[in-house]
Amino acid sequence: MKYIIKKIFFFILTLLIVVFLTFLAFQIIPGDPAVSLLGTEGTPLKVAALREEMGLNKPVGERFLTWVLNFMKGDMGISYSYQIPVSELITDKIPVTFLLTMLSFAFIICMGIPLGIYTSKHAGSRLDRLIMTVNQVTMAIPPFFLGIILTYLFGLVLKWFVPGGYISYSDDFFGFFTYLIFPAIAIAFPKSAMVVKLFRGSIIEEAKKDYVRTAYSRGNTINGVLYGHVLKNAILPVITFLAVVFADIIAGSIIIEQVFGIPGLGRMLITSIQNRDYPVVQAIIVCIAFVVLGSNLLADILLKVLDPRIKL
Amino acid sequence: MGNLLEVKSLSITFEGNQAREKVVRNVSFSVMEGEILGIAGESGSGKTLTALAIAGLLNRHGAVSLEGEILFQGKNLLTCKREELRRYQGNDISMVFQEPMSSLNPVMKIGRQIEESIKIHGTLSKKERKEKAIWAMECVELENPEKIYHRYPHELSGGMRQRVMIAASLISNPRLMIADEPTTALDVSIQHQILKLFQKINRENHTAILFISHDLSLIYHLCGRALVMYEGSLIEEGNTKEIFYHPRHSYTKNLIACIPTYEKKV
Amino acid sequence: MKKPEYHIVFTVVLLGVLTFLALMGFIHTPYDPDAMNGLEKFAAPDLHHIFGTDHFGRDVFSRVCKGLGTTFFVAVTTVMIGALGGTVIGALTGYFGGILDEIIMRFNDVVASFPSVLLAMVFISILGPGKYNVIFALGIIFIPSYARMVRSEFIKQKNFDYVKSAKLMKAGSFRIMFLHIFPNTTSVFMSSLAIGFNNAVLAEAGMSYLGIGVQPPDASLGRMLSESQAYLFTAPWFAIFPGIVIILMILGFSMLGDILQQKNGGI
Repeated sequence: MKYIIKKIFFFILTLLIVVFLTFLAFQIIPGDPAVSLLGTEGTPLKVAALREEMGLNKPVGERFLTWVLNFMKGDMGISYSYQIPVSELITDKIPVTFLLTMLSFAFIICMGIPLGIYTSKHAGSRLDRLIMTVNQVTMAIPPFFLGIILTYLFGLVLKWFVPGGYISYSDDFFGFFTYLIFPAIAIAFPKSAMVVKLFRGSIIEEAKKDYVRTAYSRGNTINGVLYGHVLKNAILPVITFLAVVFADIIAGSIIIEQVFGIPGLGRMLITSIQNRDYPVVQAIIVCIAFVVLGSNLLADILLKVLDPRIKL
Repeated sequence: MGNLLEVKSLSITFEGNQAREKVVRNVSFSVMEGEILGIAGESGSGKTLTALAIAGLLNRHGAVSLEGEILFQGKNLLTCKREELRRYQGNDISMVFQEPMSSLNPVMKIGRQIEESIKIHGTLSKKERKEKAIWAMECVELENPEKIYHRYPHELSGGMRQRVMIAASLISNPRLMIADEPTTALDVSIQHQILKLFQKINRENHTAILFISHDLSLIYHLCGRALVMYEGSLIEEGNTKEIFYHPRHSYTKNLIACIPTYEKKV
Repeated sequence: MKKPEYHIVFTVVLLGVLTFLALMGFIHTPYDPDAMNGLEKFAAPDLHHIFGTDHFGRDVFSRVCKGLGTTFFVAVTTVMIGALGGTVIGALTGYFGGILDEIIMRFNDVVASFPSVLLAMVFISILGPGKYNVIFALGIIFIPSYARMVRSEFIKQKNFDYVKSAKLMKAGSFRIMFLHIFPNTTSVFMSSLAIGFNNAVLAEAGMSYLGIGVQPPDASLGRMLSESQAYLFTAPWFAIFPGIVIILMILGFSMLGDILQQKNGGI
């Protein structure tokens, strides 16, 4: 319990640091937000008034505090290019990216874990060697290229889906869900290959340990040893890795959304970067930071539950 | 008393890519019901491999070939099916290993590890198994068994962990307990307590014990009969006292000479 | 054990061919990679254009070579910045320890837990796109992971007897750090260079695909992929060849990393 509280404390602390750093980064950019916001209508008088209104004359520390407090209330500022509140822009994008991420993660678990167990059980067999060779190549495929290949194969040749024919979740949830399957596969495939490799190696390493011999001496079957003893030890490094994978999925989804034309957070982020729409960029980065750090926190807690040896 | 275990001309060979190495040569001996038999020898003499072969733990490695017979209650363990062998493992034959540190699963509670063999072989309920585990822990003189039941291996000292190992191997009331250097990794003071424990188990449960050690003085204290192995062969067999005072082989003489002198006067 | 040797031969040949193609991209390509030819739009692969041509009639093979050259350049310089910076920081913090070490490492942990593409995007949104900005952004972002690796190696090594005896001989700290300890970390260091190279390739290709990485006239494999997407049905080769080259490059370096790691673990 003490461990979890400490971890949560560090989670909040790092989140604050990350938020502060992004805030600072966008403060040092040349250019005046008030000028950007007003665009062509900016007269010196209007700019001065807006600066006053936005609190830009106040010191950085104070501005940061108000920004954080506003952010927690859901006020993320106003987009330069759309002139509407950022929160309005991103709230309907969050479910899209969220589902894409979760779907990819589920695919990674469903492919990586069973294959890792299978290949380690049959290590050295012909099928294992075949799988591991395919695996090595799969690991090297950039997700966005896999996305392009999937679009070509299943979208253009086999016509299983319409490329670019994204369906909004508010119109047709089932259609929306099925449209996300191929993008999720594109993200998940290379990552699950990495999970297979790591898990297989970890199981094989664990199987050499002394406690495995003890388990056999008690009359366990091979499966009894594997599922009762080895897996619980071998999964530990995989959990740490899965937290990293989760962060990578989010980064991957930014690109994959572009490949498949999905209007999610990632696409919003890219357009905002290209338009230098900083309030939006800032808000999205903070949201992603929250998720990335949160997944690390979850992994830490899960590890603590599974491995009694962990101390802070 | 009849023979519980009979080993007949057992040979163990490692099959490397090019070289074959015979590490146990033509070893024959028997263990009687309820006795404590010692096997002495330096590391690499083949004593541990012999023990692992009896416990059925060698055939997992493909690179080992076994010849001869290992008869347990008349049944040849080397030729019987894996499924049959498994029914003996942890049930009639149990093992205590050298490294109490690494021989326990680090992420499994002590209680579950102690009762694992009766869970595999028996039909007891969860509650009955726990009672039996507590009984086994009391047998090996672990204090606060209820508490330790819910602990993890890393929370216990080396000596306690070895007691846990012994409790786990006596819980099924085996006919034969194989102890491979069970005290080597422990402090001398704890060694002594563990030896007493083996004597107690042997006396009270009538369990035969195959006690393997490089330390001849331990064997002298514990075992009625002893074997000495050297480079894979059996070079001495007989009553412990006789081996101790009238060694036939020069290697045995050297082994005895290594024991500090005050011990010999015992 | 025959298998690992095939492994090594395959890796060396693969990386050799890719390096050769990248050098071609710098020195001489069969066609001018930027020369447009309206008559030869979307030509399928044949003996003249072995990878076909694109929507401007440019030779895809020549463009792949040039793009490969750019990717190599970006990845090598990025890894150099990251490794150099990381080594200095990791060596100092690992060797001396203390409160500064604590602070820097906590900061490093945070940065290292973020995907590099994402951090690079933050940099790019501030600096603007372009080859050198990508190099700068990725280079800075790679520093923490190298610092972490070098630091843990230094902490391991500094308690070894050879360091203690060097200290007894009154060797200076910097002498010990870079002449005594550093050579002993090379095997770990080399395999992490290969991994870093791959991360750089992936990040660069991804950002260029998104249009916020390398900008024209610089050719880039990622950019080619994004341009090709609109013509996927008419000219699949325009997408497939740059993609396969990226896969081969990442495959080669990840195998190189594995080999280096095995060598290191085997000793």
